[in-house]
Amino acid sequence: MLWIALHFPQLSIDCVMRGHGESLLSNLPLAIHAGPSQRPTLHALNTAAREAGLKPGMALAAARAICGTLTAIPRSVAKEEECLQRLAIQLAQYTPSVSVDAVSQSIVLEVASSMKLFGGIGALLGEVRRTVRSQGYQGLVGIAPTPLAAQLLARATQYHPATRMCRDATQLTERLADVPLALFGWSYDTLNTLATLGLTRIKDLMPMPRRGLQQRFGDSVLNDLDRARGLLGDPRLYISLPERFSSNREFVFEVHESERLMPVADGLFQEMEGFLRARGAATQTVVVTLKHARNAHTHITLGTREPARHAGHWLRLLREKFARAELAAPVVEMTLRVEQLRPYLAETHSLLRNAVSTRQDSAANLVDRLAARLGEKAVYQIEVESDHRPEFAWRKQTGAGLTQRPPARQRYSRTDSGQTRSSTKMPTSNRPAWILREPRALVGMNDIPQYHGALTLLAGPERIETGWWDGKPVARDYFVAQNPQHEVCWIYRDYRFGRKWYLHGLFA
Amino acid sequence: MSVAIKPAISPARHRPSGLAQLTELAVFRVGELGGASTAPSVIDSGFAGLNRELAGGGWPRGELTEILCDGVGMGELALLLPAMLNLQAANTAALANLAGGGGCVWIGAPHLPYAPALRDAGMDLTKVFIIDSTRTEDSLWAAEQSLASGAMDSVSMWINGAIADTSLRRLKHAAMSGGATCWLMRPTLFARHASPAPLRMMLKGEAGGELTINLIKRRGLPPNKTISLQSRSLPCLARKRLQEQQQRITQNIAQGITTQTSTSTPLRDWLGRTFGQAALPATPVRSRSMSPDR
Repeated sequence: MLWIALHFPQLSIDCVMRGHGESLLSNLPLAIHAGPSQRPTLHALNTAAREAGLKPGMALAAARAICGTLTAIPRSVAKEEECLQRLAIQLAQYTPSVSVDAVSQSIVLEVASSMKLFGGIGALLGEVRRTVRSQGYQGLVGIAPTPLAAQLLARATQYHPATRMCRDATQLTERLADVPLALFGWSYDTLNTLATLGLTRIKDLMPMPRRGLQQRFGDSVLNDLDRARGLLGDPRLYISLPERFSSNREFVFEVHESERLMPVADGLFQEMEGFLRARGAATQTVVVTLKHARNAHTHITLGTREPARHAGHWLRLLREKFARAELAAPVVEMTLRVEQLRPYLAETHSLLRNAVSTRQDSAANLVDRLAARLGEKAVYQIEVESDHRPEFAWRKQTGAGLTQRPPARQRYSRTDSGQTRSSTKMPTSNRPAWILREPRALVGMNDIPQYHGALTLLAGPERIETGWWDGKPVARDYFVAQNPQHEVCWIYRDYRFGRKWYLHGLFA
Repeated sequence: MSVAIKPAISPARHRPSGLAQLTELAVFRVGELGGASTAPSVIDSGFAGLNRELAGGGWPRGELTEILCDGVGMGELALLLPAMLNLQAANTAALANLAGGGGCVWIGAPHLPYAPALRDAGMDLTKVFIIDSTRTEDSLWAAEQSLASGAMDSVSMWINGAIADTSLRRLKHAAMSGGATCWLMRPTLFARHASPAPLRMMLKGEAGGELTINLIKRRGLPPNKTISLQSRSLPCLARKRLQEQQQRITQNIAQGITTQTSTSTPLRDWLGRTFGQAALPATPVRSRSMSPDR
């Protein structure tokens, strides 16, 4: 067993700050206050507030007197726990054994089994740190064979930056020797008594008789010591991953420009990617909700052709959406929701290193990008339908599955094995390559239809009379005709309903 | 008048060494159209007559090509279809068909591409992506994205309005970076405007489904010749052509002169042809023996 513990000493301030980019809040003094409402005291401070001379524990009134521009936000323990929980879900992509310790504001991960997959403890630790930092948290790391020892080492980093890693269980007692007892989270009475006895570190407590300790302080002290050293079991409750993903960021100040939202959206998408990785899933639809003042909402739905989870891809899609429209109103909160999970299909790598798989991937991505900006209906493919009526002999194919269709079987034999055809003889088709969206009524002069001049009939008639059963009957005689500009048209005469001429297509 | 085209010496057949080889490969000689060695890779256009006039013997790959034509339905699509088919066929051969490639994008087409006709022409419809766009900037953006992504082999786009020179340059750059071919269809009005496209041509429909190509600009020798192609092979068009030739010949025999006239169709003629369809098959059979090129 090997545990990575992450301790967040700045959790309450990070929870508030991370909604905004670095630039927005870093220069403003910000404080989180807690305690009774009659006399709130400062609980956590950002760098700017600390530089202004404020200290944790100070009364809020006194702090305001020192720093007039201070922004004070009440502490919300529930929100901090929620933030920890979300981060834990995101970290579950590295190991399924993730446990949250809300009391000591830390997360522990059991990594012995997944270390090799990520390329060793160093590489894995780098990934974990990157994830934590990308979510805007400042975490202290400790590594040890027991979860409690890892937590102690992480918290002790504030006092002894050198000792934060111990991979060998036999050296654990030695490494833990200098850890202050105050980090155990024992009661004030216990710590006070120990301090008056001159016992402040683990190494001071070790030589003490166990019986005496137990009599004086009860089981908890001895048990904690044993758990830290691995002599006593320390079962942890692992988090379970939810079925859906939902995460939000509240802004301290209203955000007016969509460009300001992008770093926040990036964080949200990365959180989503972490969750999807942990679930081994991907998704095709992501709903981004922007909350404005007075409870107004803007919903933005992003969709992809193929299940995707890469944060960068989703961010690009959102960028295209924002590029098309301005923000309706200033945004106070941004929420990201994933309702339906799809199994993630890993890219299949070919043995021959050609561009096949990467090309297919980017074709789907390209269509997503185009559809995100131009609209779902503007990007489509066409298919042949078996119907005699020309307007029903084809149909549009939009939306999901656009790039997943199997290639059609070829009707016409090509020259074999990739030799491109020279001196092409185009296979003949009696259907035009262009068809008008709506048949266009042609003006007739002396019963001669006109389209950019008088039309000369070249071939026909081809009679199409069908569709009486579904309410869209046609009764037409189709002709191929040419006008003086040598445009070859496909026209028809409605021989039952009005005997008028219509242009339906163009041979191009 | 005709151009004498000196075939470029291919390095495989004639292999000089050292500096000579370098000059062979890298030096472009004025007065030559440029063979396979000097031109970038090309796509067989499917028309021998057109291939002869294009540098490298085909449509330039990874480049912007401007096709200027007024009106729709004169054979502009038939001109491009063989090249698109060749691109698809090349991809099938390269086993890329397993997962894509050979995709073509049609942006801002003047009408709906008709699926049965494309299928009949041999197109794989799963590889054709159609983008409806009426705004020029949307079309340009979509084209640029498609070209630069490297996921598509060709982009055909129709833009009626004016395009800024910088936009054309961006298109050209996107085509080069993505290795995709871009065919830009514009009205002939813009023939006078300068363009960074290395190949520009003007199309004109002719009677009987023929297409006259007037090269405005190409790599290598300045163009000085119009090309006539039989791009569309509708049977009725062939019949029409035969009819016209027959008409001309009978006129020539009757009048003993060699002019090419008879463009106006009198009402009676037209009505006769419209309603006397049954008589039509008989005419071409007779004309086949009389036409000079059969």
